[in-house]
Amino acid sequence: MNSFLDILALPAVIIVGITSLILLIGRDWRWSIATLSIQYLGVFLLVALNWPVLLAVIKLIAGWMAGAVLSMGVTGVNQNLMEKLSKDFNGERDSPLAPLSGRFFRLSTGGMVGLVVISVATKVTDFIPGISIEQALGALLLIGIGLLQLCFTYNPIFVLLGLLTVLSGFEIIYAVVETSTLVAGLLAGVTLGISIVGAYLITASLEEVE
Amino acid sequence: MLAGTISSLLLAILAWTLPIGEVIRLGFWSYKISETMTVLGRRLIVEPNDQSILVFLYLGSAFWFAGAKTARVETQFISLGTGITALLTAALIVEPFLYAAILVELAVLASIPILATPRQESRKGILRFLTFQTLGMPFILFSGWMLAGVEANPGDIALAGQAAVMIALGFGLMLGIFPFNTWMPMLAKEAHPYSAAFIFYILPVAVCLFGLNFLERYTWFYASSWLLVFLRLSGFLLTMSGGFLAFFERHVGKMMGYAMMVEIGLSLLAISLGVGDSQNKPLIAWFFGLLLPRGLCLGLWGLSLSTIQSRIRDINITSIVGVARILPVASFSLVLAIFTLVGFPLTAGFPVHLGLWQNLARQFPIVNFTALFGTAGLVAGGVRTLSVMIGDEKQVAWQTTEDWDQRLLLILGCCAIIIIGIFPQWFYPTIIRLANVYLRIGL
Repeated sequence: MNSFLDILALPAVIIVGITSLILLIGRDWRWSIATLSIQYLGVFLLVALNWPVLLAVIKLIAGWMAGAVLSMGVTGVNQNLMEKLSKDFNGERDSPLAPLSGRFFRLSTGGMVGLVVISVATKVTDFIPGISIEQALGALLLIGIGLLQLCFTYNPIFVLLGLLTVLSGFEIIYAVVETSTLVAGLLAGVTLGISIVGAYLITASLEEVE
Repeated sequence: MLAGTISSLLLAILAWTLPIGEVIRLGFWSYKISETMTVLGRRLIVEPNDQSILVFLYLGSAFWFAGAKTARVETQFISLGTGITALLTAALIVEPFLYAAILVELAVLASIPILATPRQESRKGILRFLTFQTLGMPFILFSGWMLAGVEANPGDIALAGQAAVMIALGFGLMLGIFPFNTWMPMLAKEAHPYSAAFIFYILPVAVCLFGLNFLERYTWFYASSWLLVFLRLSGFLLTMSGGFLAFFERHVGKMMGYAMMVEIGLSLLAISLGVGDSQNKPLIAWFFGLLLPRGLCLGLWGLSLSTIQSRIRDINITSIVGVARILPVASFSLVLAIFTLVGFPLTAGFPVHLGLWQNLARQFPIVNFTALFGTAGLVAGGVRTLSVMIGDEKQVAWQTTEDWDQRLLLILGCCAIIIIGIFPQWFYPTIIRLANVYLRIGL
């Protein structure tokens, strides 16, 4: 089983890298939540390198439940208002090129973060005994791009997606040093709590717009 | 409101009177409250010297809940406030104690619904608050693993230094130490003043107590010169920046955020008095002394601002011109709260601030100067607020338009501040005694 998971480690890094970049440049909340769900699959595969699979699946389930809660919060409101709110928060201008240039800028900064991550990942493997290079790469990518996500927007949905991304990156690293069931449960609780809070903030924001 | 206040008072009384670890006899029944409760393999341990903090936290909650209805906060304030207090209490008594970071994060998540109301114009401050608190949690958790390595290899200076950086970042994010303090004025502007004041009070208190637990656990930190530099520098930056920005601030709600920055800075400076030399450890009691005036002032500030905001939606300095003529009790309470926080004579804050400045002047005069500069900035903000509130070109006749419950609670709060200021010997020795019990000084 372990050798099978070891084979999946590199694809998992690719999954988390691509999904985090999609989250960074994406504007549609539907695609973003779907991407988050795929990202948690990558997180699960990386965590399962150190944890028993049945324990690591907590991360996957918590992540999917967080995505479900966020999407339920958003779908519960008027979609025209939701689109308006997205535009207000993301500061879209009238120029048709504005969204494209914005995405290109974010993609390039994400790429720069990726280069930094590749250069420091080996130092992390030296610092933390037991962590594989794939886990270090995946975790640092999530943390770095998640922080970028937090810097680029103040839309509640995307801020929370950024927080969940950073937290999942930390959880990969922490899974190597801590195998406690209680910690896994509490961190899953934090993940769900963030999604519930996010759904509340989105719903409250749109009540006010109405 | 009544149920929340009574239950918190009851819990505070139980924490004060019930002996832990001893057999209690009630007629035919006898039982024993164990020190330890096990939850999913981890323990919550309440030692006899922790009871003082339980009393403090639940008395504080009861104080806030008593004014909740008058302040017209959201209905979930009491229930979520009770949950937040319980989570923060658990954070202070959980073993291994580094799990406290997760419990503090859960308390932060629980505080969002009382800070975010449907009628807000902006939520950037709340999102930033949530972001910084969530980012602080991983640093504290990871530092726990690093400190285990430091304990196994005490000679590894590099690892100790890296652990120290992690801890500094974690506490810096959670406490809002410069430059992670931008959420405070933003939150104070956006959220209901009373709810924001409650969070400003209880969260930094719990995190500071968690930090003190940290120092107790890793005693080699006490003698660390790095810690002294960190505390003094953080305190310096917070008091300077908070005071400087309060001087120029035009929104009375945001001024509360800057006042909180100054207060957290003073708390760090108070803790720094006891670090370095073990003989100075009792001086940490000045941190506990700050909590009483801070709680009263923040409560009064929050209640008076909510009273003013219920009449005048915008509490910018240009909008509250002459408001003292129609809301004199609320206006006076607001100004009294500001001046108490800076330590004006005959107010509850004066004895503590005087002692703090005297001790800081002995140990590190430059830092003392910056603390005074920070408070001077707040004083200037308070004077400007006072002059705007009483000045009115239209010369409206003086009248009190507050509701009777608002008037009653505000007057009670003002009286409490003045009585504590005139008779500090009735209150502060008990607080210092509780602090010494908690810090195990003299035992």
